[in-house]
Amino acid sequence: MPNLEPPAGLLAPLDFTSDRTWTAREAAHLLGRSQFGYTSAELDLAIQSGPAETIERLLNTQPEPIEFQQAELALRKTALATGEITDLKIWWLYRMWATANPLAEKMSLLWHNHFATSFDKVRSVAQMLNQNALIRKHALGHFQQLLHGMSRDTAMLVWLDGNANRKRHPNENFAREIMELFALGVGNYTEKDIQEAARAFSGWHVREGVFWFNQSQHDETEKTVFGKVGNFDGAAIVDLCLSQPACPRFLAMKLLKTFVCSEPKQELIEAVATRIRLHDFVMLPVLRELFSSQVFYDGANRRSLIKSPLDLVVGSLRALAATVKWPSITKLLANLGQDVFEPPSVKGWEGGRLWINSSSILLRTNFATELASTEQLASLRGSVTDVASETSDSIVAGLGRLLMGDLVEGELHASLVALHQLAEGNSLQKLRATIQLILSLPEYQLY
Amino acid sequence: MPSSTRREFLQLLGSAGLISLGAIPPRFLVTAAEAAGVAARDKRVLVLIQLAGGNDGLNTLIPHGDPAYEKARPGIGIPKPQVLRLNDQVGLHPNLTGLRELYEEGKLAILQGVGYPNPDRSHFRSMDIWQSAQPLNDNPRDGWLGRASEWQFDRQPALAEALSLGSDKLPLAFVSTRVNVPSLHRLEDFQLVDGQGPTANRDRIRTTIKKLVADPASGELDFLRRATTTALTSAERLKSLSATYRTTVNYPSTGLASRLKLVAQMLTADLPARMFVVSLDGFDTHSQQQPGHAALMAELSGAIRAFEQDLAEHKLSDRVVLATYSEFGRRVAENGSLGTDHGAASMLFALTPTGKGGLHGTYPSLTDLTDGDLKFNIDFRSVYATILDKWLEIPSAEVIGEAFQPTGFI
Amino acid sequence: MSRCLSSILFLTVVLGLMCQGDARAADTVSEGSLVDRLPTGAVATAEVSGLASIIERIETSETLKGYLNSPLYQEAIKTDPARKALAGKAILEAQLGMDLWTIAKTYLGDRLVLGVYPPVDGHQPEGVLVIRVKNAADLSKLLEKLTPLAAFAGDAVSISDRAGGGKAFKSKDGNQVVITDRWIVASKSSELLSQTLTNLTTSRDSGLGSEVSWKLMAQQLGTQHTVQICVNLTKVSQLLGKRVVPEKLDNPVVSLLYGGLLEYAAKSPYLGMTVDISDSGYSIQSAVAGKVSDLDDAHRAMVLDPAQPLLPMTMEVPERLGVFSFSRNILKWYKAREQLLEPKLQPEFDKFETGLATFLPGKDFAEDVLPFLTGRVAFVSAPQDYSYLDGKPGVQLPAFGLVIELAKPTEGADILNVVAQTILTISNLEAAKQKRQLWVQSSESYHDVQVNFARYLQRPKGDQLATAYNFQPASALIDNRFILSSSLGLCRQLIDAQQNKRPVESATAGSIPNIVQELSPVVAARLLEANAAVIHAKSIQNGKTAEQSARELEAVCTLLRRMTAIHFDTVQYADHMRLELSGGWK
Repeated sequence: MPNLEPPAGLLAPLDFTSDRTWTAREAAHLLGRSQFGYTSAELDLAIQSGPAETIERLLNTQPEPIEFQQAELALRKTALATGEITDLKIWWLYRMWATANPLAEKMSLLWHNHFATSFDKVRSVAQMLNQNALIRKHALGHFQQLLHGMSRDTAMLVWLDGNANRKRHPNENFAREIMELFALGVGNYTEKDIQEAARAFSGWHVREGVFWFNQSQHDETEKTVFGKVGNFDGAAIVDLCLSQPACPRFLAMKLLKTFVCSEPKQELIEAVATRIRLHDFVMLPVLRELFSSQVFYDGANRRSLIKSPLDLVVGSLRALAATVKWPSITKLLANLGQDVFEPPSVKGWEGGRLWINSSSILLRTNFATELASTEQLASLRGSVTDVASETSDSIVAGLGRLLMGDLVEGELHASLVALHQLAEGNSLQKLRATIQLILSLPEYQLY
Repeated sequence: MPSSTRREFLQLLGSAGLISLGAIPPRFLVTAAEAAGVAARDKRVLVLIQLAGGNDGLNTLIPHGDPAYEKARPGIGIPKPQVLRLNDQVGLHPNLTGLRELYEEGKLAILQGVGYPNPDRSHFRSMDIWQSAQPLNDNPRDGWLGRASEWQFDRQPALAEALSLGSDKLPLAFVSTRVNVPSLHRLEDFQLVDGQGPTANRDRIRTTIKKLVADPASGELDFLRRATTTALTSAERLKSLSATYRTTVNYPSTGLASRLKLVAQMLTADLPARMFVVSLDGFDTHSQQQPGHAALMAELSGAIRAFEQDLAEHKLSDRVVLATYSEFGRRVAENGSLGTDHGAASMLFALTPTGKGGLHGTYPSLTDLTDGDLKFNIDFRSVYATILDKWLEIPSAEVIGEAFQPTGFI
Repeated sequence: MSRCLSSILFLTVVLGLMCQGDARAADTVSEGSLVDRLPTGAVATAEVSGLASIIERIETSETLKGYLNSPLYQEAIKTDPARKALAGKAILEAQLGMDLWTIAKTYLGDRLVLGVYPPVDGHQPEGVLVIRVKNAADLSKLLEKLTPLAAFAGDAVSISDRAGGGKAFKSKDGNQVVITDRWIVASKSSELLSQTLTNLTTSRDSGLGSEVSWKLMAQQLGTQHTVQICVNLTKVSQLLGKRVVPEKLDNPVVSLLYGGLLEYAAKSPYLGMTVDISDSGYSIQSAVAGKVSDLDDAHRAMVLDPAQPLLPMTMEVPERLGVFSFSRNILKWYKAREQLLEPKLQPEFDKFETGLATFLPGKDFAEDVLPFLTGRVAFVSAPQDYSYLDGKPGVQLPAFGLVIELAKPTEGADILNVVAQTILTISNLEAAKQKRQLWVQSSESYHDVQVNFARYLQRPKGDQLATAYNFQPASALIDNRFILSSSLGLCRQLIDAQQNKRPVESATAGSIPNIVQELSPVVAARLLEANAAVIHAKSIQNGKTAEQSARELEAVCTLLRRMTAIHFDTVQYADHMRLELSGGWK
């Protein structure tokens, strides 16, 4: 990889020494967007070690503690053993919650949503797990490798009817989605391109649970895709898609919507697309630049995204919970509309305002109530409850820092302090009431 | 807003301590009032009953005047004297007494010969076709009501809400690649849980939330505050009304009746949802059809009749269209085990407040068949077009992807 | 799975506590039942005797000590109700000047009986509690302590001296307690109280013990039990105004298995239950009176003919996890189904017969299938051997074997083989959908018996194979017994069992086994351990650490391994029938 000049313009790095100081707010913003919530220890460490070091820690693989390794292995093996997708869902949720590498999980979720594949049709935990492993392997790596891998992934082939794609009866399902949803986006291809590409993927089948190139069902004739003519096979189509200028733009859009803002401006998309191209579609350096950029920390982009159910639920648990009852959490997430391994369609979750309706607001409020006031979903961390003897002011400040990125001010601050002061019961009950109020607020649904 | 609703609403606010917030009407009050006002006047509601398994239309709307019927159904045909005659040609299953009353009152439309070209006899495939309204799409991503919700969401989000009742998996009809439709089982699913800890704390938390969300904001926060206001208001209304909800109507003790009662309660409480889907299973009557099908007919008829009475009692009849549908009808000829196999065109019921009840379409011939099945004369997408264009006021061509002529039942 | 586990854990802990500790001989000399001290007319009684030695065992048991020192207990006493209970305990101990264990042993350790009487004027049922204390001195000591306490309670409790000695306490809400000599008698009803007090001193021939129900129970079950409960079914039936068991049952399985027992109950004057706990085990027995000859013809289908009993098959195999074996006249039961079962169930049988017709065209179930059976059926379970896999399934299920005895072996086996083949075909269709290995029909000769079994097309490989790989169906006909098993290994073992048949299928004097059920906790423990990984994962899913889960599983398995086989049998006696649950500790 050649050493590139740092980006300029919109993506120019923010100078923390002169332009802005690195405070709990900036650290919380970075961790909030790049992880599923954060613990107070993680926040303290981030504030202390500064932006550059924190970003590197997020980007580079950290060793996992032994307890995580044991639990992760037990949960994974059991999912394979029972063949129950719920067990696999719990495995992944556990990872998001407990991992020392949360950005990898966040990016994995981004790709799961990008290549949305549902167990509902695949019906194999092993294949869903393999696909997840493929995603995780390339989560911060080469998008080209991920896209090539996906085109041969067994779960994907089952999901998009690979075995039905035969020489004399091409099935366009995969060819359509690779253009519309995986690489380019609507408007960057023609129906003819899809039909031709479908023929190139003919014979890409699953046999005995693994990818198999079925030569006898592969269309060997000439195809015309994006104006180029040749006897293309599937891999050639993937490369053609990757070479389209729409591809980095499409990815830039995804990254920006996930990490920066809900409606990125065209020039910002172009700027990120340029960096993606320059970094040869490797995600890690692109993310480094994004997390260091002025635009990332811009005031307008702070607390401007609506939390997905996973960001809300797993994020709250990471901040607050010592132990978690995962079957209930899995059910809750499905009810909230984000059921991992079973997205509603190949389009995945659009998110944003679409997460919100009356029913989901009630579920989110009920989640706040149950997490804060009961032990039905989880037990609270000692580090959260051990503040019981402090004053109302300092308890609200501590919770505001942990749960709201240190942005509790004005009327909100006064209301929280008043609640803590007036709340009945012992100090733990007063604390729980305050947490419940914070988790129930519309402000808390943003990050 | 009717005065009784307003009084009740103000009581609600009063009890929450919000009525004394000063001279400027708080946001909470305004939006909630708006929501309630919009709901009462403009919200037209659709209730769909999915008859899963493929209802035997021939034994539901019986062509008793056609000798071919007796010939095709020697073992499981409904004997002529038992048929609830609608005219010389057709009549209803003897257990559909409630529906016959509705028919006679002009409230029930019966659509004959509903289907689609090149019918598929697989449950899954045909159910997909009915729910997606896209017979040519092998892999439908979304359903017709899901797309209708999207259209509405982009224009008036408050009117886009929908609910699925009593099914574990969201019916494809409601699946949208953008809008998330919740699935409820019980009324409690739409309520705030109390949690543990002192009651006073819970009350204080709720009061504080309501106070805080009442302030206007901008961007996503404003959106969330409005949505929270609507949701909390709805839940409180539902709760206070479920305590006071009274009906003199005696709902039968069946699953469908209890689900429709739930719909009625939600409508009474003015929940934002305006599309409901409920399911009644068990129509795949391959053998020993008679007793099971008769029980289902009784469940269907009793539940719809009670629901309609309840709506009338609460002055909601004008706001509700209810329709049944099933993935296919069944073969004209019965099979060897006193049952019927998967067929094609069938009939459906629609409760219509527009005075357009009665028989629509023509009964398909029992002798001019395609592969042993009835031929359709009403495309089911015309039925959808009727509901979308004439009732929900959502352009059907955009939702279905093709223009269909509405039928006359609305 | 975890709920089931915790139930097992709870049961074993409770029963384990009772059987552990120093094996001191019970020092209570029983003086016979206290039931005859109670007034006549009771609906039910519950009597407890010799509690002192059991309390002693619990108090000194290692398990209890372990529990009290465990974090589990430390967590439990933090809850509000536990705190209140502990505070109450402290006050009581301080007032009486002894710890709770001693209090319980002193005052409840000898014998006590509770009588329940029909409600008067539709109020709550009345009750009398009679407690006999071993030493009268202990009671006078109690009186000394209680009298000043009662004075403290003000007018809530009034105390008076009794004419015949002792004191009477009366609370404002009508509860009365009399303490006299060795006795504590409590009741809300003055009438019952005075009758009982009379019975304490005078002749007891007019007491409850003289009633038919109690006499019969005492005669059939004896009276020397730790706990003995008796319900006067005749009286219950009068109070209900109908039979205690409906004429027609609403569950076919219950009818086939327990229809005979329930019909006994419908006519029996009593329902008795006894609990006995010794140092090495426990036995819980329930009984109802009756004779086979008193049953009508239809109900005789569910009992064994005492003259020529066709005893349940035992089918002993090594490493048996459990067995469920019974003997019924299935044909008679099936034909009498309209008499035995509720009308609403009848259409289900019609559906079943129609369904069966698609498997066996032209055959009638009652006429062409059931006559092939003798009515003896056994269900055996043992660990699966997995010799057909290169690896193991992730979830290890036990293997099952169904043994059906045939009156016409050849014809019966043909029918059952058709069923077995159909199941195989359906399974293969399902397997194809789930992308699993398919089965191929194979056969072998095992000890000169032909065994048909399903072989996997390719030997499945892996350590986390799907649950379906727990099955390798096999079937065989040996003598007149048809074996259908989910495991070739178990099928072979069942053939061995039949060939080496010991004379075990015989009745002991005076009793005839009607249903034989047995579960081996040791084998169950082994199965749990084989599934440790999955059990741990389920614990982690519910918020526990891998280490916590390992400790818990170890505790359950240790307890299970200390238990001997658990039996739950139905046994016919000449004049009554019993349900017998028993087990023990090593």
